Amino acid sequence: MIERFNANMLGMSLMAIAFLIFTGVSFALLITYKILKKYSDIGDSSCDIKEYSRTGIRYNRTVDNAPAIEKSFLFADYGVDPYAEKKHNVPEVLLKNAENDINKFVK
Amino acid sequence: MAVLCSNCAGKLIFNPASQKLECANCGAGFRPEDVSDINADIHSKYYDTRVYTCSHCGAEVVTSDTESSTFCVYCGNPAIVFSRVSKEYRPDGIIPFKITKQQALDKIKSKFVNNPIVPKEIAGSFKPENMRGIYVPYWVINADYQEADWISGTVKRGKSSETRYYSRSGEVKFKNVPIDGSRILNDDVSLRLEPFYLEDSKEFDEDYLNGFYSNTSDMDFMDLRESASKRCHKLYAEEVVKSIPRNVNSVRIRDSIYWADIQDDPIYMMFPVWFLTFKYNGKPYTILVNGQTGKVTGTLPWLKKRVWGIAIATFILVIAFIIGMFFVINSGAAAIVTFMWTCGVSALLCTSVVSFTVGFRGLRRILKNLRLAQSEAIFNYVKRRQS
Repeated sequence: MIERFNANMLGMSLMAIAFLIFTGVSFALLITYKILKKYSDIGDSSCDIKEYSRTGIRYNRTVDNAPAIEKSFLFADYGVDPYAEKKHNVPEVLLKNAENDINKFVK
Repeated sequence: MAVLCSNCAGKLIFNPASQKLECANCGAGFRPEDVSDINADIHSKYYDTRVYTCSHCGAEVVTSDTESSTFCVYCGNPAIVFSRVSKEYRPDGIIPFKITKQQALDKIKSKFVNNPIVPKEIAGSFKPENMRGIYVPYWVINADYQEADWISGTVKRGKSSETRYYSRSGEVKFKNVPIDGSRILNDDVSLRLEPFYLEDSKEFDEDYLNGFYSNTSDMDFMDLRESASKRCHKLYAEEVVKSIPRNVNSVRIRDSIYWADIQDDPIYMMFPVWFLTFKYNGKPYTILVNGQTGKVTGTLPWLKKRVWGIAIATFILVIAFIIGMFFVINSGAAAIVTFMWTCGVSALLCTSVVSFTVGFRGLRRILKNLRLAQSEAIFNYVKRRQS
């Protein structure tokens, strides 16, 4: 009985210690991150689609609480590049850079 | 190449404060569009530049001939040598520098004042001689874009939570998205410099380059398409998660497929950036300032002992607080003790999990940014591309 009591106590103590360490480390990580972000890491990037698109996203498919099989259908429908066949008028600079790359590779 | 003063034949340098070309000898000022270089052919597809090569990182730095390069702006190494006179493709447009060297330096210094974790000795590095203004090549694109996403999130159901999946697909027409056209400058670094406002852009005139360096685009169409796809995906991904119902927590994009199609008229532009390079503990650092808006980006070195001290002190304080709470709560009646312990431990555990996730991810991002600021990353990037 005493042995069981001791084993329970040991288990509880270990759990308490693990909990204390985890909580301490978590808060230490958070505070360190906040301080480094404020004083060392300057100039965050923020993205907003509205800066570069007037219309925003036009959704073709919005399925909430989707069954797992839906993923296969989704990626089967969108897995092929819709623009693959399109020909482009590529600016001369970009063509020249591609030529330079090929020349470097050949050398 | 260099335009000379019509009064005294001195060299003209572009002054961002007055937006004029100013003569260092007689002080006369001229608007760039009023000055003509007899050697320049404005109808030509090319313009002349001087190219310097860094023997340390292999980067090429292009200048007009009014300023000779003394050290590499990418890695800070002084082993930079004149390589050749080169004809470069004339960009379609340019955003001239609006922020002067001193203003850029003051903005960096303001981040340093009252900063408890940055070593004081680096203040000596914040000197005008360590600053270089570079016109960085950008492509401004319009693109049709399609993306399909498989998104997960958790919904509370009573005491437990349930993972749900959301299927989304859509398309966007992007307009005037700036894409960094240089392989040397990391895309993550250039992204942090944004926004640039195209309203200030002018038709390209090499007179704006006087007194500054410039870099030319070294990417091909496939590179541009890849960079554009990643950039558009970043913009799209931030928006698509907003379409998930508000009661869903821990929303995460699990899988995506995306395709971008660049329209036929990408515009080749030069955008202004101030680079401050310095060394601390043998490691190079680069801080950048947007030459149009004055936005400062980069990661300053920090005092490791002080940061470790803060982390350890927080750790000890949190443990002391919990132990203290243990004794305070245990002094109450047994029923209250049990109730408070259940609530307290649950709340602390939840907060700890959130703190751990936010702190761990945030620190990982800061360390990544630090590696980008230390220009060895750019060095490796160049080497990787070269190989």
